[in-house]
Amino acid sequence: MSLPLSISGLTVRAGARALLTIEELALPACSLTCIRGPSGAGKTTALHALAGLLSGTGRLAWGDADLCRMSRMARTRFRGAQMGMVFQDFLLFEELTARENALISAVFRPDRAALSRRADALMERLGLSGLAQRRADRLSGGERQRVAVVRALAHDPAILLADEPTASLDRATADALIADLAALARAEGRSVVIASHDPQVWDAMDRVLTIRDGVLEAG
Amino acid sequence: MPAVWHDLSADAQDLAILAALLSPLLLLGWGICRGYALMPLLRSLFLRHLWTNLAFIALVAISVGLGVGLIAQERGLRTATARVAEKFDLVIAAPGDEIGMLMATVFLQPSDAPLLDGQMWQRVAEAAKGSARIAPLAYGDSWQGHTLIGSTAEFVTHLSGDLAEGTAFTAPSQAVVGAGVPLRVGQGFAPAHGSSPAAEADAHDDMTVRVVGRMRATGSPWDSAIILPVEGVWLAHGLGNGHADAEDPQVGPPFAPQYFPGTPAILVTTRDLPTAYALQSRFDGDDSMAFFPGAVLSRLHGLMGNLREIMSVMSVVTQVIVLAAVTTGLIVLSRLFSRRLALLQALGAPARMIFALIWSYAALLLGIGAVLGLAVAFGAVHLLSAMLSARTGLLIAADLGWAELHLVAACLALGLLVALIPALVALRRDVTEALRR
Repeated sequence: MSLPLSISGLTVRAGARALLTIEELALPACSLTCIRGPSGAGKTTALHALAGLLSGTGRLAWGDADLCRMSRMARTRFRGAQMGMVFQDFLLFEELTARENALISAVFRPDRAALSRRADALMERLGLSGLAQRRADRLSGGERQRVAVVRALAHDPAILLADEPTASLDRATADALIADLAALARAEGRSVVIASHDPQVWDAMDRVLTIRDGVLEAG
Repeated sequence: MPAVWHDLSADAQDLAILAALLSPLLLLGWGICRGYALMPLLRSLFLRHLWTNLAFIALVAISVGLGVGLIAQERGLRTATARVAEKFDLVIAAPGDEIGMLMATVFLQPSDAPLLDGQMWQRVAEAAKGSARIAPLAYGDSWQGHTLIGSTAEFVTHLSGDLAEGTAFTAPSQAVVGAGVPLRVGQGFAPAHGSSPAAEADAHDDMTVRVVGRMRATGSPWDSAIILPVEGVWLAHGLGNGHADAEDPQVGPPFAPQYFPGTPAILVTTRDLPTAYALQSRFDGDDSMAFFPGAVLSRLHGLMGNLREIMSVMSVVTQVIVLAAVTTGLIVLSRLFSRRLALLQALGAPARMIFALIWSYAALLLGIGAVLGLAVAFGAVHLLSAMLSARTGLLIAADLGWAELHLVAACLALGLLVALIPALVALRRDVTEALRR
């Protein structure tokens, strides 16, 4: 089940300084959205706010769940249940195998059998089955990012947030990854928000938002 | 409750203490880690900084091992010395230093001691008649570093029971050797005057002593001693044979007081404690000194007990310092893991899981260190025992006991409690900052 995003009057502050401002934004469920902007504009901050890693004032609601009104613990619980995240430099546990990385959230999730089944299916779909037992530090960049995608989707989240997922990949690998990601999201009806300065990523998305100096414009 | 406790066997009580030390932390660990399958992450964290982790483990193992090993060693030494002194009920000697005489007569440490004369021997013999056995202990000569003791065949039996080999001596030029003396039954040797390294090797060249028997091992310095009739010692020094007839082939008491050349010490073995106390009281005066080796040793053990307490405190302090160092190290190390922890939090890991991960990681290092520390202690104890046994002739069977297990469990318990600190520190780090790093 996908979730729509609704934001109004959101401000995320660090002390007196506003890190992120979003006046109004509404994203329908199952949409693929990209946040673009120059380095330092606040793309990652925006993504962290959407993930509930940063708290702010105003309203930031995924479906009925307003993250601004939730405690830190509740936001963590919501994120664990409804969100998956992918990062620029993969953030894999290098000493573990691809499959162990894909299943890393099984450490704290009770539904381990279901998670395991879904991770295996996703690995097969993304062409990683043959690499399941290979250590993460022996995978290529593209393979690592695919493992990170499986890790983010293994618990079947409604929302996928990705921070510059193609930045560490070569062009061909980046294109293949985005195609796979978009296909997976559309097939499974997921809301996707990607922070990226990669024009190829913009082209694959339903909507592109721009952020400048911490202000996200809905246009 | 106290009655139930006292009804338990000593082992059951020790086991209960061990469980009491460990169970709160096992419960705490269960409470913290409940519901999480942390093993893959622990393996990853362990392998990530393998050498640093091994260094932490080694630090804990060495500190636990040395602390525990030294305490076990001290207990082993105490037990071994007490066991040796058991055979020596009451020693009568010329007035002087009880500890010096204890070391000379029981532990065969070289010593110059004034002699008790024939009158004194006669008085002791008469007082002990029917209620105690007495034996002279005359030392001063040696053979290749092995102390020669002049005494009686009865003393040999008292010391070792049945002989392992051969027979008891029946002539002044015969000897029974301790289990560790490199002389065969039937082999002869010439005693040296004095003890090594100042022994005069050729002083008694005109005398050949033949080995006729070998004692069973006693686990004491007496295993490397050579015992011959006291008459043999006297004759070697040209002092006669202690009997009225200088040609008398008899060995052993009774001795003629006027011909008795003297002995540094008399061992009195009594049947009961009142007799021993009566004799001690009678002969502890201006002319002689009478002491219970066990009591003197007990005083020495008291002193060692104080040392033991100091060692225990030092051991605990050392382990606390190591724990503090390891805790600081773990805090620093957990900073290196902060991105990984932030990732887990970004994936929805609850704070308790992050706390559980760092605490279990610390518990893993401390636990492995403590277990290896027991192995280090076991090795250290046996190495030290072998070295001390070689030096003193005492069979020091030091081993790890419940007291050591309790100490390790207490240190581990403290360590696991202290491990809560890096776990709490890890929780306070900013997730978004760590993710950007």
